[in-house]
Amino acid sequence: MSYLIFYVPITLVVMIVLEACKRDDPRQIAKRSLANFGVLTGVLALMSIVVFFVNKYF
Amino acid sequence: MKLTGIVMAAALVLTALSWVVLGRGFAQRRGIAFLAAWFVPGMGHALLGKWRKGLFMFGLLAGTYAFGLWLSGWRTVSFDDNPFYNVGQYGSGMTMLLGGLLGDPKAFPRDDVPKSWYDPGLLYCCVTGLLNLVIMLSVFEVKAPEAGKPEAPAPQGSPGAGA
Repeated sequence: MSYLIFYVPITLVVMIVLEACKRDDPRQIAKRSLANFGVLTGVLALMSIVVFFVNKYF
Repeated sequence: MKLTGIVMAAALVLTALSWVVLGRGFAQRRGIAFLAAWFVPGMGHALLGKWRKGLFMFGLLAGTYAFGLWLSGWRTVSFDDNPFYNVGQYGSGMTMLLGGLLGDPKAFPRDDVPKSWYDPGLLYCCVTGLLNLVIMLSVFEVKAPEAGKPEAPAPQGSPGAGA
């Protein structure tokens, strides 16, 4: 199994802690953490694809 | 281990000083809570009355740290393993103490987990300490309780919420 699997729990923990420091409502914390996790993962995935194609064709 | 003892002693002295210097009232409690949050993650919030949040923070960080320890063979990050990750553990008194107690032998290698898991294990231990610094600072976000005011406002029950 690739060690990349460990990206998910640690990123979720970081997002939850950052949100829990700002808010008190558990629902809001969960919602905002997941949203931030999704955005961060999306940006990383997108940039990885860009880097992949840059390396392949340029 | 000597450095761990020095830092622990310095933190204790700072706690005692803040007790004297900050005077009475919420400012004093906040100062003590800030330093206590370094020793035990979540302790600061618990001391300021937000014990549920403190317990949640402690559980989250303890789970992350335990997972990191499991990945690295129940040994913390020694200076030889990775100096940067080792310093990251200083963000919390508990991780620093455990690092001093368990960190001397190198964590690597371990037979029952893939070798590529070793670095994430060290990272988990380091991130626990760093996240505790954020939790410590968030102690200053806790507002002083007002007499007769409930801790949290009543939720507004709107059926279309979240749409």
